[in-house]
Amino acid sequence: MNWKLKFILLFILSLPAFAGYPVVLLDSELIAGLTYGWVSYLFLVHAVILSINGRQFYANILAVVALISIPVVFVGGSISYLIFLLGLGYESGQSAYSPHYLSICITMLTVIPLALSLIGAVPFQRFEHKLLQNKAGVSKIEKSMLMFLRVFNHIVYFVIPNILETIREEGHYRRWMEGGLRLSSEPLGARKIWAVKSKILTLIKDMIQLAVESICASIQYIPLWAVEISQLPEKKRNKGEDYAEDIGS
Amino acid sequence: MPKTSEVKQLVNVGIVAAFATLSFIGTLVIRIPIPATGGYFNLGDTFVMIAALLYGPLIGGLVGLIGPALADAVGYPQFILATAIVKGVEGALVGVIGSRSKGTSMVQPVIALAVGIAIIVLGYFVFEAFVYPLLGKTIPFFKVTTFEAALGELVPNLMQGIISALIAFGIWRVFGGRTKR
Repeated sequence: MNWKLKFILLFILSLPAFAGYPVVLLDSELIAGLTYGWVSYLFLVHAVILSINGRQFYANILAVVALISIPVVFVGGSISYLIFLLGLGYESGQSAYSPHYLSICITMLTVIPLALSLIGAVPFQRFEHKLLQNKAGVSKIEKSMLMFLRVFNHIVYFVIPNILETIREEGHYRRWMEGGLRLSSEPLGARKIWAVKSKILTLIKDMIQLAVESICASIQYIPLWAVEISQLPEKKRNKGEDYAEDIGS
Repeated sequence: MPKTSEVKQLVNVGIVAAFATLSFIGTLVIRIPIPATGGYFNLGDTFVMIAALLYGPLIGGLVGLIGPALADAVGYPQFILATAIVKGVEGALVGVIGSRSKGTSMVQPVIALAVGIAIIVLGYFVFEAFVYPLLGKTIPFFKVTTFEAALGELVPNLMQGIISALIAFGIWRVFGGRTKR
């Protein structure tokens, strides 16, 4: 399918997620938190994505959806359960927050695949290639677009995987988790408060280090790319503009 | 020979793209939900603040406008409007105040980051307590928060602002206080 057609189809399909209609019209609940409208919409979205993108793309999208939504929904549910256990809220128990997380889950399962399919439908690499090969020249807006795409691709495909590799190699996760386990077994007191403080400071230091590494890796080639892109031939302007420039000079 | 002004302009576009992408990823990957409102806590603000401190209000504002709003499009589309406006203003104001600091003086960046935190807290409060309930009366899509829920998000937003500002300040110190603009 042509990418423009695919994009338009997905865009139309995404409108109910933003406008609410006609999903809200089917508002009777299957179970608390899940309406027939949203469940039907979820199945429709997944069926369309599977049919227009194929199995492989759909499987990748499902993996990303799980990666993003599972922590949000389950961590959220766990935090709410802790609040309930500690007597800080949700007096009526799990029924006070479960429907909320079910509805968040269904929204994320619908919206994330849609957003990723919309992004995936646009052939960014082909755009870049086309602009670089364009014999008629490149306009200023196209040059800016080219720069934006190049930086975006560089960060997503090179910088972030390298940072994740660094985190794994240097055992950041293990260090953060080990500290947490030791702390939870100690009784509350000045020592524990001090330990919590130093753990937070270590976490912030690690975050600063990782952020600095990602910023440096992200911006290092920008001056080089700027010179390279600026040397692309300018798109020829129409005669009217040339004439106006001649008169001006 | 490349034109210097064009190269400068392209470098600025690249910087906006880099920090907006980092902010997008920082917002997308680290999401800790806030039970009261259905919103979430993230570290995307760090990159908005540091972009504003290092490169000024225009780049800071654009990074705030693009990056976190893109992340909201994935999973939390109802918050796009609030995020784009609040973070755009945050980036611009942090840039206006913080990027004029002389040498390595810490006073202006600290004030700028404090203003940034205040904008996050107050901005989201205004949207969630007043704007969204009002919009929600006509468009069901925006019917996501109430005044009480917005009150419940004040502390988590404050924490998010403080932690993001602390990290941004640390990064600013690592880069020697300022960069060439």
